[in-house]
Amino acid sequence: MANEDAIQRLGQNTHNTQWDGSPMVLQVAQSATMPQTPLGTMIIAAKDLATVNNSGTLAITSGGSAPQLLTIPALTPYPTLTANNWQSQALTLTNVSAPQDVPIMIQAIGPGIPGITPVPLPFGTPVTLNSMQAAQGSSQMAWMQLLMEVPSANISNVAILGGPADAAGNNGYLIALNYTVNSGPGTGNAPPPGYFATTVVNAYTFQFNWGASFIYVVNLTPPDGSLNVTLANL
Amino acid sequence: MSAAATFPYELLGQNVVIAAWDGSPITLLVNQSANMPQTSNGTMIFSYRNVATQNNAGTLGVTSGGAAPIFYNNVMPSLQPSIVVNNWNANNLSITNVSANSDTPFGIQAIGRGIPGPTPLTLNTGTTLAVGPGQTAQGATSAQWMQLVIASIDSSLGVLAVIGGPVDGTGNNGYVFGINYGSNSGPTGPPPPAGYYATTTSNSYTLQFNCGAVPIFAANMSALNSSGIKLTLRAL
Repeated sequence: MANEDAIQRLGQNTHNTQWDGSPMVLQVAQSATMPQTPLGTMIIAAKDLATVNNSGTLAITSGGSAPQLLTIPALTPYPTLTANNWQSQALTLTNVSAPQDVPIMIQAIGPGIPGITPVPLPFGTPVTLNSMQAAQGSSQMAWMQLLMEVPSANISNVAILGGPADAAGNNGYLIALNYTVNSGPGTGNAPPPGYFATTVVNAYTFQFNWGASFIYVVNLTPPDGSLNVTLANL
Repeated sequence: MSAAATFPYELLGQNVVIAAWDGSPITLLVNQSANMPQTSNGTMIFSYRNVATQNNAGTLGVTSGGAAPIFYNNVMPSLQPSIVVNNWNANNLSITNVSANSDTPFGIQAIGRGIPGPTPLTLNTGTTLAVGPGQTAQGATSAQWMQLVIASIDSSLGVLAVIGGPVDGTGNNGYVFGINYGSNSGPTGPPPPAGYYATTTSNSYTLQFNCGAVPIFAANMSALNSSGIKLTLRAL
């Protein structure tokens, strides 16, 4: 019954039918619909703003697919993230939390999406990104490296978008620094779901040869976490 | 046949923005078309680039004469133009942006001798000429053995298309070279990647030829953020 209740709410009490991805707060039973998503990877970040210990639930629907229900933990500064290619279809987010006092902040993140104006990402010059800040630059037709460093021991999430899409149409990479295990390419360990790689140290290097593509890097750490990124030509 | 399968075909030729496209650089928005009424009867270069500001894959539909459309799918935003080097045999060439996402403009351009667009630089025998990304050069060969030296200015991939000389069995007289490429290939080595004549991991390549006294045309199709290519035409 709980699931039925949740599904019956989808699309009801719509709050914003022309959501452009900018940060906004959804109260319980409110929805936001982005009429057209990118045809490449986009990130959805959601944070439970409840002042009491109420975890929330966010329903994500796109096209005719069954709703994806995301549990949004309470009282944490870390946003819950999902990165996907929604194939240019409409995307509707609905706050289907059971308690009434669970506002959820949502935001869509990617190049060209309002909400975050990226700073330039030049070659060879470190750029410091505060929480929820992004940098965008261009790669060259050569092997490149993106160095990511956080000046703390806190777990930090970084998302990179750009380059060619894989067979599923995705061209996004979610990386965690100061994580509890090493995983991803070259480690022999499969990364946790949704991640490309994780590392126990406070720095990670990402090597790639995408051609002359854009590269978009966003710091998805809590408000007090900064990130230094450096794009280098190998 | 499903509706999804027929949908792109229905769009082709609709919402034509330029029915007499001369090949000059233009931007095609989604569902817009450009038609070149008559292509060269020799090799011509068709260049396209997804210029979306969002992370959007795009699709171009290309038709010529009565041939079935060719779709170039999953073209991501890039500063590196994609190129098709072909002889369309003086048929028309129609390009349609059939991308799924409405915010997926494409920059397109036809490149070759006499086609409007960038004015070619002059390629003189015995003089090194720097050709920037998107620039072209034109000169003339002598009726003797000649050498074209293609050298990159930096370590990024350089893509050069050369048009000139007699046509082969398919009517083509165009050659695409990749320098600073990931592998060596071409006439003296393994087969080149599709569309290329030769590739080298080095930052320079030399082409020897004797095709009589003919025009030679070269286009730097490298990424827009590359440093450029140096060309030297020598009489041997």
